[in-house]
Amino acid sequence: MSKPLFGAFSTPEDGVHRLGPMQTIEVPQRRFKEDEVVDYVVVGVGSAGGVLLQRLARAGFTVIGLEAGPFWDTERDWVSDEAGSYNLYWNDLRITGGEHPLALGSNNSGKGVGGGSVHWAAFTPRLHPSDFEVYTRDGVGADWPITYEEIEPYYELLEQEIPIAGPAWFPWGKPHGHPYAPHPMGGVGDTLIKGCTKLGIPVSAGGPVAILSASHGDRPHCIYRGFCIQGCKVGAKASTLVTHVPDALKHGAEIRGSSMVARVSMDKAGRTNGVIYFDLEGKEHFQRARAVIVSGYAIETPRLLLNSACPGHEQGLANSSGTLGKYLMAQAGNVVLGRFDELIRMYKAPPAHALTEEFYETDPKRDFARGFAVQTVAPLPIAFAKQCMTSKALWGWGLRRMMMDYNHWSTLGVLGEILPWEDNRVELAEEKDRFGLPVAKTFFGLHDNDHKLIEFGTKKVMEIMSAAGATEVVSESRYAHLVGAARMGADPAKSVCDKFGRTWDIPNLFIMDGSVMPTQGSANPGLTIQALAARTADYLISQGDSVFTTSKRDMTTPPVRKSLSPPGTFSKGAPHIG
Amino acid sequence: MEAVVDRILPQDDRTEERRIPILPIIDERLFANRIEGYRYEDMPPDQEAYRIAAKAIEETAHALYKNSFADLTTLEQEEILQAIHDEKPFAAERTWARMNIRRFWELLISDCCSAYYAHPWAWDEIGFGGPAYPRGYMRLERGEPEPWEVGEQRYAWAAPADTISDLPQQKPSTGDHQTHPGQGGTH
Repeated sequence: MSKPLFGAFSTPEDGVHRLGPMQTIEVPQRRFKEDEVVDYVVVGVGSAGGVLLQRLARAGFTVIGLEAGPFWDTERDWVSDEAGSYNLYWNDLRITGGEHPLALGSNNSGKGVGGGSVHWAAFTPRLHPSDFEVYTRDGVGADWPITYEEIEPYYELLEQEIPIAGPAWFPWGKPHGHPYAPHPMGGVGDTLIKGCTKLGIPVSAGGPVAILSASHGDRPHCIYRGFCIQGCKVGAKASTLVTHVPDALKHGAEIRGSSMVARVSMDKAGRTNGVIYFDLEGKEHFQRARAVIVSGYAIETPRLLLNSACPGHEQGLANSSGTLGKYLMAQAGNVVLGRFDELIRMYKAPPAHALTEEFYETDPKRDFARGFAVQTVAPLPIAFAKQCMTSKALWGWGLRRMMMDYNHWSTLGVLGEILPWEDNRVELAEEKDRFGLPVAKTFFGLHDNDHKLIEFGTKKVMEIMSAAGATEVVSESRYAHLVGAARMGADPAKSVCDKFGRTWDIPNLFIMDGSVMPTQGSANPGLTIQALAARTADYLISQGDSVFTTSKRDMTTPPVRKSLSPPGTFSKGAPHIG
Repeated sequence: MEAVVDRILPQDDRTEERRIPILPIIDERLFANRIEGYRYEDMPPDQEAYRIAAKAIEETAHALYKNSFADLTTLEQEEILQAIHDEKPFAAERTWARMNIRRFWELLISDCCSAYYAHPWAWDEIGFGGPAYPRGYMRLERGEPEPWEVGEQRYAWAAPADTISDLPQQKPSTGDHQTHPGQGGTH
């Protein structure tokens, strides 16, 4: 190859900030003055924060996004290397405990503009209608304060804005189609399809994933090299960094990277008046705002609100119910590994490219509530080496021997619903970070329903793997994703915020990210988080200045504003079925 | 720790100049305090965990053989490590009691794997195609080679006849969801 496809690799130039090989944003960006009072400060520019900033800026509000991690120039900062992707994750200290402790960091926590959407595998299934009434149907977990019908238009909008590639007919939950074509199958997806078909289990091939199967504006299509989780340097995999942040900036939003918010500031009238944050050098700043939206995800959101305790809010902000930090959830993410005589080469194609939700709903024939999905996973060598250790307890020559067969192994994941339990929670630890802020401590344990679900799900996936022709099938236990810990609800005594993310205690303080989810279903949470954020943005726009001036809580559902989508997305590639 | 790492990820089959550095990578990580984003409540900081383990392993070697771990035979070294793997250390119980031995074991293996399988020589060994940027891949199914690739070629090596680390291993009995080495989110 004498000429690279996307032009020569160039060193960064002054005045150019690149997002992928084609997209650039203008620098220097807008910079609000230190003493300027803006309408909204959004804490955390991830899946929710990116969408909120884009919507609010388009509607004409003055907005600043404060992000603890860097504002990536992806051509300069990202590398196509498993070990080199270390910086994409929230690697700062957290303490993890409880009977079945969570792994954090690379497993589930992003840091930097785009947040977790930079390193997600990008599966984008919707929640099912049943997810919004788990308590009513099954007597476990919780009901949401909204129905599926209330979020559905936002699923449709975001699926076009991102946009999503997947089959024209997705049969589970409320059936729907996807705007971009499904992706071709890799070796791991083949395994899932073969195994499921043999057992008569319906299966979805080629999506739904937030990965481009055709070029879209200034973003190229997928090149099937399998480095999704390492931050897609190609720009084919969606993150809010490449889908919504550029449009937010164009409409006057400011995003301040490397700005670690220490606490939300309160005035004497019981309203927030801004946030205090540290810059990269550790210098403290106060950013004034008429309202604050916390979008720090399931650990950092409760941590920030707990760290913001002050007179009148001794237990942390928005915690009069005592539920802040509680009902933290992770999904069961047990991985089943199967060895095949033929080659699989699981490093080719996106790790996320086929799934089945046939076991998603509660089945009265099983002895547990709710269910699970089965999805392709495809670890690169370092992650797979660790799975050799966890699945077969190997070390030494045995580990190296299993690794020699890397290209003959396929891996499928259970994605199972763990119910929200009060004792699974985020608290503050004694340890402090480099800014002197107490770090988060998580407690996590599985309950009876969770154990039964995980055992059944793992066994089912092992059957699928065997049916696909694997000669050896083993499994390892792990979790995937985080949500909850600042849940929304209809009852102020049992939840942190209302159905729009407005905290019950402080009228101009909002929470909008995965932490507001009362239950999690067996769907990867990224799409739902973005859809919820777009819905809250519509609410804030409808409320106008009253958010800044009154304590009135208007619970009217706002109209769906389709005019706020990034250019060239809405009504482009309409789903085949609606 | 050099001798320990040599048994955890043995490279006796590789020539001296083709050995992949592991301990310097771990050492640098600990010096720079690059952690995985969390610490188990029953574990000390990673640096301290390695100090405790180094002390315990050395104490065990002296208790059993009155010798330094580095000077033991390969089999003697492997037996000591296998006992740690099995969570039944031969000696130094009081030193090991300062942390969760299974979590340390998984930390050690993870660190060794992270260093070894980050290296292109290890990718060649296992047939991993590498980053493939910007041209990517076109043939995704059935493990077919790309037009510019050759078909599968197995790199042959043999473990020493008397090694015990090549034997099938028992998974620990302490149950599911006890330990999760950070593994770069697989879905």
